[in-house]
Amino acid sequence: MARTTPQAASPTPPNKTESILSARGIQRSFRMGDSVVQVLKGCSLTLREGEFVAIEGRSGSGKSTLLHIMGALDECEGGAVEFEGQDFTQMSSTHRSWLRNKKFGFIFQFYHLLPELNVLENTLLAAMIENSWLSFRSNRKALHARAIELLEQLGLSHRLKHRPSQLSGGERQRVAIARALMNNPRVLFADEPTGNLDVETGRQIMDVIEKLHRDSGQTIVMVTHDRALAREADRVLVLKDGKLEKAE
Amino acid sequence: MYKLHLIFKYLRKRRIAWVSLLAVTLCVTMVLVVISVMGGWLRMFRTSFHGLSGDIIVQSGSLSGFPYYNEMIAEIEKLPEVTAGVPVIQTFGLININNRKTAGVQVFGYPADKIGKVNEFPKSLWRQYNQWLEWADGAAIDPRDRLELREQYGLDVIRPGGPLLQLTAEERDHLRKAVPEATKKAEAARQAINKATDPAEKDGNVHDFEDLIWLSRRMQELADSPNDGIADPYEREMIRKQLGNIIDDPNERLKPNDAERAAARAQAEKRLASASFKPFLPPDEYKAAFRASNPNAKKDFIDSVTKFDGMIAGTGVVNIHKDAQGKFVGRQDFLYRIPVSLTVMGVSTTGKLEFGGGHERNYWISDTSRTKVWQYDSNTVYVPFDVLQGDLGMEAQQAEQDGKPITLPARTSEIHIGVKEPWHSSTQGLIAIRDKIKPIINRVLEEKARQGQPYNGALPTVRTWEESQAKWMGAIEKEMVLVTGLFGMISVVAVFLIFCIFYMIVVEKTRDIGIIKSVGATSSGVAGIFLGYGAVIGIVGSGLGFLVGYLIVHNINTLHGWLGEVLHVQVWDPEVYAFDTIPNTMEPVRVAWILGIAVIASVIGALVPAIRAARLNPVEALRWE
Repeated sequence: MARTTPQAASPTPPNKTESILSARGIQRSFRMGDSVVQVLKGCSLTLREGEFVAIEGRSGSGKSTLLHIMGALDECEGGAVEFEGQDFTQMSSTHRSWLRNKKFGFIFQFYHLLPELNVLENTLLAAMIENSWLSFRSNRKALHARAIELLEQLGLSHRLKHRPSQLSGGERQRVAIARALMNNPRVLFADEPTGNLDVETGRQIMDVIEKLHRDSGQTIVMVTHDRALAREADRVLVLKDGKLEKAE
Repeated sequence: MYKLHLIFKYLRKRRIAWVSLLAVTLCVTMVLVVISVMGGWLRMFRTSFHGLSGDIIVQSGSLSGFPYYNEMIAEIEKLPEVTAGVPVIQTFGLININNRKTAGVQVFGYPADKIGKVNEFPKSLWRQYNQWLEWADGAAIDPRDRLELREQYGLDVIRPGGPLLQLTAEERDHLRKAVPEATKKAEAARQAINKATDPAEKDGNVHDFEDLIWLSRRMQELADSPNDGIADPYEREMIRKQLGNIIDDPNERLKPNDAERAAARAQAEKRLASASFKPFLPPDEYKAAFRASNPNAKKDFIDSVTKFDGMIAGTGVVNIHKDAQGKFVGRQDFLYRIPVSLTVMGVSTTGKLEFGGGHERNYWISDTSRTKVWQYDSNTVYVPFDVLQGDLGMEAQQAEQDGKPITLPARTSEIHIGVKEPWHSSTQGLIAIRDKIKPIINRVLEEKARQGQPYNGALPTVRTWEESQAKWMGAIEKEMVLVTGLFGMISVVAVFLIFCIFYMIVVEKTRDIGIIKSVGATSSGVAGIFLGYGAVIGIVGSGLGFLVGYLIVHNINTLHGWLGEVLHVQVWDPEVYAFDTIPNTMEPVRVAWILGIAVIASVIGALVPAIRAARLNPVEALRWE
């Protein structure tokens, strides 16, 4: 059975200037041996529909943690994250799973593809999770067509049956992008998407992300330590000493 | 959807899981085989023991028996639940078979006409029942038997054996062509005789030469004979042995057709209803046989052999046994022409031997009995009740008491009582009938005492067949529980193996679990993958286990025979296990239970790893190295 929406879908399509995701006063600490390190000390950020925001920071500054909290992957200790006007930090883990499946898409530095599945199956993962066996079978054609279309757009149409281990780094990241876009997410979270790639391939991946933003108006939050990459976003924020600042 | 997809991907790609699959398969096989053999053994015990005794048994613990059994039976048979009551004498004796074998045997005195009403003894007989069934099932009926069936039993539907063995034109042609080869072989055998130095080898060669010389002549004769040339079974077998399958197998030719089979089956049923101890050959044959084996016997004595009674011998007593291939050997016709003598010792109520010692009587073996219970088949003989009663001094006797002549009543050692369904197959039902019979016995004895009749013997007790065999069956039941418990405990190891392997897989797949969760899988969904994985291992493993177990149990006697031949190990000793065959059937309900438990156990083994996987924090899981 397809998982039902725990809440009614937002009644009116949000316009470009409306806030889609907003984080207020996010706090998060980690225990390192005996000491507690406060990584996020009250970060606030509002993301508008169609915006491309880059969060820049040094390694270990907590930018990935912030991204995970905003993407409902991790929990915060203080503050709230509202998506479409609702604070999901207080909601059940099932609801947050539903958000990750239907509303958010993730791209990771290390691609994180399932090694046992081929390119097409990896791309279909979100759809497989969303649908029961029966509804997947009945929508199989449409879902396959959607996955193949995405992979074609990303130049992977000749690699459908390949396993991740048979692909190059750039190709793997493009499969990860296809997987993230499979369920038409409202927000795409990218965690150092070029961090594991050479300059040339990293450039290609950035072009893909930019094109997504430019052509389809995809809302994107990207985390990077590379100032030059961050500059390509609409807005750049810097995470410094646990707080978000506007870039100079 | 992803759960199923991932379960099958993991099953195919993670070979380590196959180890748990194998463990489940082996455990299921092991438990199935043990349960089936032990359960089957117990079932065989119950059926056989029940089949061999009446449903309810009135017995005295003493060799001298108890009197007034006819009055008791008359009263007991008035109960509407009872089919019949039959007196049975059980004692011990010495048998002498044609001065070749002397052995101690258990002796049963059965009234032939009634015994079939209370137990299944007639169904254990070879000549009078099972032989007919064998024919009905398609075994070859040899020409002499065919003749006997037609002449003695008037079964015209049985075709004469001769025409069946008639040679076809093709066969005659083959024979003609093979004559030179037979001659050549005979010449080779002749030369081998001259070369051989070992006397045994020489003897063998002489034998071969004679056979082949005779055969080459006979083959020519057969080939040249007109259309009605008949090759009897012996000739056919010898030709096939020496020269290959140039003519048909006699057994193929002599197989009965449908009408013959139906006639054999009908005759089996008829014989079953009238099983007897009567020697079945014509008196002249017995006389001839007796004269042959006792050349110095006097004419009177030879004439008296026609009056010998028939005895039914357990298969083991006359050395009928299974060979390595599991076929019965030793069931030759001469068996029924051998005179035997049986000496029994009657015991008086005062504990003295009657007739000053043993009483000897001659019998013909009229049939053999195979009950499949080793204790009976190995050393039991069955004789007519009244004959045994007389020989034991248990018949009615005249005596004197206080100067007055009195009649001491006849005695028996047991009364076997048959009971109708549904009481017949219910333990509780039999106990209820037993409790009805007890007062009847007491009433008969009290009545006799009131009339001042003498009482000679021990007081009888009334027991159901289960109570009278309780010592044996209780032991088997306990042994079955013990062995099943032990193997069940060993099977728990499989659960731990699944647990360890799944735990390993979960640790190894931690990052994948993080990925699946990051794409929106819920904790219960992730747990479902591993529980489903465990269930699939359980289902496939128990399916394979069932298959292997079924094959083993089904062929266990062949396997056992093969083990005996190759490794000289005989695990199933009929003397210990009471039966000469290992039980080879499975009980569907038990099988279903075992398979169900195996699947549940596999899921339980996967439970803890599944919970751990479900609880993983996705971010930590993604960072897992």
